[in-house]
Amino acid sequence: MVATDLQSLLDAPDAHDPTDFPPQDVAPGLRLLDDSLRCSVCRDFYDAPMSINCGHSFCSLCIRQALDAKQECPSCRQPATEAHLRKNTAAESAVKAWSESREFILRLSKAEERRHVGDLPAANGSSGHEDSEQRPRKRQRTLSEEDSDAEVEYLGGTSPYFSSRGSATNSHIRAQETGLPSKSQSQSDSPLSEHRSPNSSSVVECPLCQRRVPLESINQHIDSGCTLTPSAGGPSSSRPHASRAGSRDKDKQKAQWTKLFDGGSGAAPPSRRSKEKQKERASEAGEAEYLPKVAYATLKDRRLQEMLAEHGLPTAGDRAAWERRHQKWVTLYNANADRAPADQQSPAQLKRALKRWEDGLRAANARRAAADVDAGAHQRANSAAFRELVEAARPKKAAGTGREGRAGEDGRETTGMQDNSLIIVQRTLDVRKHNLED
Amino acid sequence: MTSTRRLQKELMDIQTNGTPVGIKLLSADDFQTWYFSIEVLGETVFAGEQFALKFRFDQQYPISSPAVQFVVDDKYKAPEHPHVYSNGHICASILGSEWSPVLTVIAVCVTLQSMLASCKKKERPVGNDRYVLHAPDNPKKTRFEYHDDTV
Repeated sequence: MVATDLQSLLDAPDAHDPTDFPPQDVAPGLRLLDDSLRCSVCRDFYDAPMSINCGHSFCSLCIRQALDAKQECPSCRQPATEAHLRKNTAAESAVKAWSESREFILRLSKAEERRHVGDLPAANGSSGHEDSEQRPRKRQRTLSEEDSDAEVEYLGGTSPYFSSRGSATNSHIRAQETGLPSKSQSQSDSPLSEHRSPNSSSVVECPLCQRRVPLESINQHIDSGCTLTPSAGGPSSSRPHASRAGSRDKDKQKAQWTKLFDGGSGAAPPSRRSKEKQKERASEAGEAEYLPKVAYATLKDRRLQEMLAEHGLPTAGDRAAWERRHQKWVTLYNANADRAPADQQSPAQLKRALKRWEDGLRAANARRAAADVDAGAHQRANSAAFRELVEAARPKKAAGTGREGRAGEDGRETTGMQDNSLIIVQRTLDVRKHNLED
Repeated sequence: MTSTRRLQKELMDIQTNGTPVGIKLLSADDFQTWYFSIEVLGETVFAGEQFALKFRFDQQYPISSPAVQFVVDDKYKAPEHPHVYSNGHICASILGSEWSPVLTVIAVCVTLQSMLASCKKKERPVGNDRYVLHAPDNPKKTRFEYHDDTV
């Protein structure tokens, strides 16, 4: 009976699991491999994997939600914050390649498993022919496995998103943080490091939105409510072709680029030019835009509504609902921004996800409210009986004055109830009333 | 939504890999409430006794912890343990402040099993009666203080 119930629950359209693969003795390491590409929070393949300071990786959405709840690594409990999040592009490309090859490997390993089972009677001596066939086929299998391995590497190395982002944004950021040579840096040494160093030393993290901002503009950035972000690091260091050139060439190129983006006018005022360049830089590097976290307690209702409207989100419900909605939106949005550009969802898709989440929440709340209402209704329906009981207890209570009251209060203190359910509130009120009357 | 998917995976894992010794899935009719039976093996004060655990999941699972308690009805009783109240509520840090989203239903079962196994003397928590009198229906609404990490 239990089994059939389970079966109906397990009927998921795209349910996949490491145990799809044959066990260790038939297909060594395959279950482990499949498992190691899964986020330990959602047990699905990494979606925009992010690693944190302790080295553990999770889906962007999973770890962002987990850190909202508690600022520590879910796996090892080391303290962690969103500022520690770094894209794990290696895991991302591994997942991409594995998802593609999984079907194929699964087919191969299933065939192997069938043969493995078929071998058992063969071992009893039913056919030596099959036994002789086993070896070459096994070799064939290892060969094809190597093939697919090569495919994995090949895909990882040349997939367009990997090469573009790996060299442009990510290795650039990483190089700035760790001081390790990045891909673009190793291509050209002196001119790059020369103009990169003043930049890298003066980039700081905004304490409000955790974005990286040049030190000299951090004040404007904060004053602007974290909207103005001259992005961290120099533009040319993120562009290998510019860094390869000498500083004189670089200037020339800069002028050319400016000309190009100013529509040929060339002599734009410097402030406008830098703004345009920022935009250009962001779009060229595919740099993701993140939404800053919001301290909702400091906001007026009006402002919060405006912020929702800015993203085209509904302003239905009460203030708590707005805050919930906006917070969830920020999390969804930022997690989406961590995805590879090709995998990113449209705002409309994100809004649908937000709506699904809210609908689920509302359903759960409705269930809970139904239970609560029942308790309240019970209280009301039996209020006459309760009153009678209270009256009946009163003479007895006069004998041991206040003892019951103290016990009740103690009880609440030691167990520290978070939720003062209706009954408790009512009871303590009753007790207080008694104390007053006594 | 997320909780459903994750629970589905856990169920799948239980179905293919089975449950640890002494722990059995009693029922999982939906993705809101699951029941497990739990037995403590070996020479313990609970030898030969069988208990049932009730798991309740909300939509935020596994970000938020499941509500876990021992079943108290005609068939099952709550174990007499210094961290288990007679109404089945459990004072265990991993169900509250020490919950981590990488933990699973089975991991919780195993932890509670070892909590029972390490018990030397059958007794109720201090202030059991007082707590049970005021306890909310959902143990997650109680703020327990975790002071004893020996048992």
